[in-house]
Amino acid sequence: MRAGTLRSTAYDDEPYTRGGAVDRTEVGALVRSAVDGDAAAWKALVEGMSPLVWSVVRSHRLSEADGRDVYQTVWFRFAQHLGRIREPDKTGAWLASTARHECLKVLRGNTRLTLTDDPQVLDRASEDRTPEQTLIDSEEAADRAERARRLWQELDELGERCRQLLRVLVASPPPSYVEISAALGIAVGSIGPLRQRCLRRLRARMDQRGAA
Amino acid sequence: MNGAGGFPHGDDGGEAEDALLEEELRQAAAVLDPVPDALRQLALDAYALHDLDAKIAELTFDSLVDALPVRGVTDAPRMLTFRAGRVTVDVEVTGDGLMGQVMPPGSARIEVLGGPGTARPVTVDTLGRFTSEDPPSGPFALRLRTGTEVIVTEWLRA
Repeated sequence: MRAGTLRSTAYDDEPYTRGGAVDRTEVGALVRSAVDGDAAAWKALVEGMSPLVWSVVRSHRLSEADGRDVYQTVWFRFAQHLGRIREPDKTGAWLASTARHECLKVLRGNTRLTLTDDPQVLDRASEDRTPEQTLIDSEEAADRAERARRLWQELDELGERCRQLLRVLVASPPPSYVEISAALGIAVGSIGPLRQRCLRRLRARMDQRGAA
Repeated sequence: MNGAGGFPHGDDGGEAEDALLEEELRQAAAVLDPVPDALRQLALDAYALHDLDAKIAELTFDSLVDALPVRGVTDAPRMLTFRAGRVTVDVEVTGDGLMGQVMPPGSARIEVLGGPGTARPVTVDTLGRFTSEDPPSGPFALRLRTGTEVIVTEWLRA
C-alpha cells in the first residue's frame, strides 16, 4: 500500500495497477484492524476501495452533486457499521451494494421530484480537470492520452448495460465478480460473457473509428 | 480474477486482447475519471464516525422506497423511520427543514450530524418532538442521547 501518494497522471507509472492496491485478501484483516482503532488500516481501506465505490456512482450517471452525496453516504455508513459488518472479507461487496442502493434511491427521488439533469456531468472529463494536459510531455504520451480519451468517449456511447459493466469492471484495483455483481445487481455468472461481449463491441467501435 | 469465466469455444486469443483493452480502460478511468481528492479526504475523515459505543438505529421505513407515489404530488415530504431496540425515531424531511418524534416519548438530546465533525443540536420538547429549520444538505444522521444510551440513525441522504 502506498498510502498518501498522490494520484499519478502519467501512464508510465501506474500506481493504480501496482502497489497502490489493497489486495482483496487483506480487506478482512484491514477491517478488523480499523475496528480496533488502527487509522492506517482505515486509510488503506479508503485508498483501496474508493475507486470501486466511485465507479458504482459513476456507472449510474448521477449528477455531480448526487454522486458526491452517495459516495459520502456510503463511507459514512461504512464507518458507522464498522465492527458490525458480518463478513469483513466481503467488504467490497458490502460497499458496492450499498452504493448501488443509494444510487437507485437517488434516481428514484429525482424522478419523483423535478428532473434536475446536469448535462455537465458527462463532459466532466473534458472540463477544468484535464490531467492529460500534464502528460503531453512526449508525443507518445500524447497519442496514448488521445486514445484514452477516444476510448472513454466510445465507452460512453456503448449502450447502458455495457457502459455500466465496463465502468465498474475497470475500477482499480480490479473488482471481483462478486463485487461487480453487488454493484450492478446482476448474476455473477453473467458477468464473464457480458464482459467479453462488451469489450469486443468496444474494440469494434474503436477499429471502425480508426478506419474512418 | 477477471477473465476466469470459461470460453467454451476454444478462444483464439481474443481473451488476451480483451484483457489488454480492459487494462487500457482501467488506465483511462484512473486518469479521466478518478475519485475526486476532496471526496477521498471526506472518506478518510469519516473514520471519526466509527463509534462502537453508539447503537445504530436502522432505517425501517423510507417513503421513497416503501410508500406508493401519490399521483400529482411531486414534492411529498420524505418520511423516515429508524428503530433501535424499543426506540423509534420518525423523521419528516421537507425543503423547509426537518421534524420528528422519538418514541417512546421522553426527553433526549438530539443533534443533526452532517458529516464527521458537523453536529447541530435541535430543540426537543418533553414529548420527544423535535424540529430543525435547516434541511439537511447532503448525507445526515441523528444522534440521540437519552438518559442511558447514545443512538445514531443510519446515515442517509435526504
